[in-house]
Amino acid sequence: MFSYTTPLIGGLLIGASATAMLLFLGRITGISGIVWSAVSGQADNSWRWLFIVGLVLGPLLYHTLSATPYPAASPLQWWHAVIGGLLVGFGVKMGAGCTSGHGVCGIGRLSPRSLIATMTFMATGIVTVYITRHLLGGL
Amino acid sequence: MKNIVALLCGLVFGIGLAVSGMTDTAKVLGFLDLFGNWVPDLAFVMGGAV
Repeated sequence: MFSYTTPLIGGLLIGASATAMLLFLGRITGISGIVWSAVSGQADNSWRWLFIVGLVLGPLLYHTLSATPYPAASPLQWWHAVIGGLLVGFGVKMGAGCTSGHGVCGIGRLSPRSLIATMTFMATGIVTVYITRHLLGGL
Repeated sequence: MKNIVALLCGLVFGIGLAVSGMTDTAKVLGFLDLFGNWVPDLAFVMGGAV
């Protein structure tokens, strides 16, 4: 059985964070966009780096303080992650957003573009998992 | 001020991901696996966030 309270609480925290970003910084919390701007050296970048630092420290803090174990590492090889990451990066740039920018912020703002983007990448993900897990018998 | 808000927002966002289990690749894959042992957690995370 699954408990839906932790996903809901986590989701509310993510939503609260994205809302505060929009409210106080006037920014859409698109993680891929923030990381891209940070590494590509845009002006006024300190808030982006600090956001990323927080994003990494947050889970560290949570697991340490609550003494919950870290999720198991993916059984995949490192080069799978590299290929996957490259594909995701490509798609994110082309689609102008990822799960956070389109899925959370975009749908939250009732943007039709984000709704379409989210439905598209979720559907593609479902098809990919179906092919790899059920047709090819992999992970 | 802007920097402090960004740091705090990052912290809260990250804690949200960890609490909801979205740092677990198995759960995210499980959500996309409609035809196997479906894990609906991601829908609740998205619902909560939106």
